[in-house]
Amino acid sequence: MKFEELYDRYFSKVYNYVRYHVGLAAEADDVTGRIFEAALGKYGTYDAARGPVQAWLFTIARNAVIDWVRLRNRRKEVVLDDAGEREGAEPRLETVLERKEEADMLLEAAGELDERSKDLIALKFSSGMTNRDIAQLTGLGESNVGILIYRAVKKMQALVEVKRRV
Amino acid sequence: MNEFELAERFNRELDGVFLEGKSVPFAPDQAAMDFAAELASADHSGDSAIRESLREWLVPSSGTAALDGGAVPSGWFAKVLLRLPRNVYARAALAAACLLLALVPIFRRSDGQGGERGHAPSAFRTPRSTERAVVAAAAAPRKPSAVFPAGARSESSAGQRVFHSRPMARLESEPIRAFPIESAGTGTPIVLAKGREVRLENGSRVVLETEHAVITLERRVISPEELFERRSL
Repeated sequence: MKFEELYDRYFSKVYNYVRYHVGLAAEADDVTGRIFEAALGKYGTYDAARGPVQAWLFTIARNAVIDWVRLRNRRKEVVLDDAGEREGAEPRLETVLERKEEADMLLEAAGELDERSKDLIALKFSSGMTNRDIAQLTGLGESNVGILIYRAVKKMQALVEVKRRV
Repeated sequence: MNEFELAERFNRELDGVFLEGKSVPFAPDQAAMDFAAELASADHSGDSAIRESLREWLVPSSGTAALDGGAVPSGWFAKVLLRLPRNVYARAALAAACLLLALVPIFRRSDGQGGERGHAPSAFRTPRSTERAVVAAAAAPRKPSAVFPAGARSESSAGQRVFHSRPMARLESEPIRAFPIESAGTGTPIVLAKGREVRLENGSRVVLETEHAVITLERRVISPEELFERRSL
């Protein structure tokens, strides 16, 4: 597979995965850019015998997001800025399309989850990987992944229903 | 149905959502399944401001390289080529083949010089009839005239470019004042022989006649062909 094919096929999935973790679109762009740069740099290291290319790419993506989270935790002021912008962005959302509102609502609900559940939701719904692949990627048990995903979906559903009522 | 069983069924049906791209019936909790389908269909990549610019930046630098394990080209030769780098034995065989190819010109060169055929590997030997002829030619004593064509010998200009004549003093005999070897007193006594000078066209010669031998010393201009053998390929 050529790199451009990889890019075209997986950009949306990787971006969506990153976006679940990174609230701001600009920062998600930055992290996504780093992921594809790293993927290009590690071009020759991929071994098909170890797993599908999607799992390889999402391993890189996951590491990039973990790095981003660590950096964010070191700089607390960034988190505060994010929170402020998110609240301030709500009036702007009233003016955009309903679809965009719904999408942002989903992201906000995901933002309420703990890091592990957020990661599982991001992996599952951005890549469409099976629970077995996710279990291999995260090091969790397959059944544990299933339960955590189910709980996270229920929690997000409840949060979104509350927001919709408001 | 406990939470574990519910989660297991939910996840099993959820895989169907990804396959069909829409919500699937899930009696225990249809609302949760509908929400999961909404999550699965959500695409935030429209927010990205770098999608095209990043592609333009990365794709040209990726060149024509392809990911290992990508689409396998059709044809057995292409498949073999693709698998070569993974197999250790295949790598060694490839390296040996490359080395052999690199050494072929060297073997051929040494094969063509001096008829030293013994150094060439058997794969590069000439047929036996040709080999016998070459061996016979090498074993036969060579006359300078046979090796060095008359046409080439006459081309003294070529030799002159390499060898230059230097002016020489005339060779003359003169009486030896003190003989460097003293007689031991026994056996044949040492007798001084008188040299006879002979004038040559291009030098001089002194002939010394002793009791048992005649020794001739010459100092004359010589041509390169008298000392060296010139071979033509």
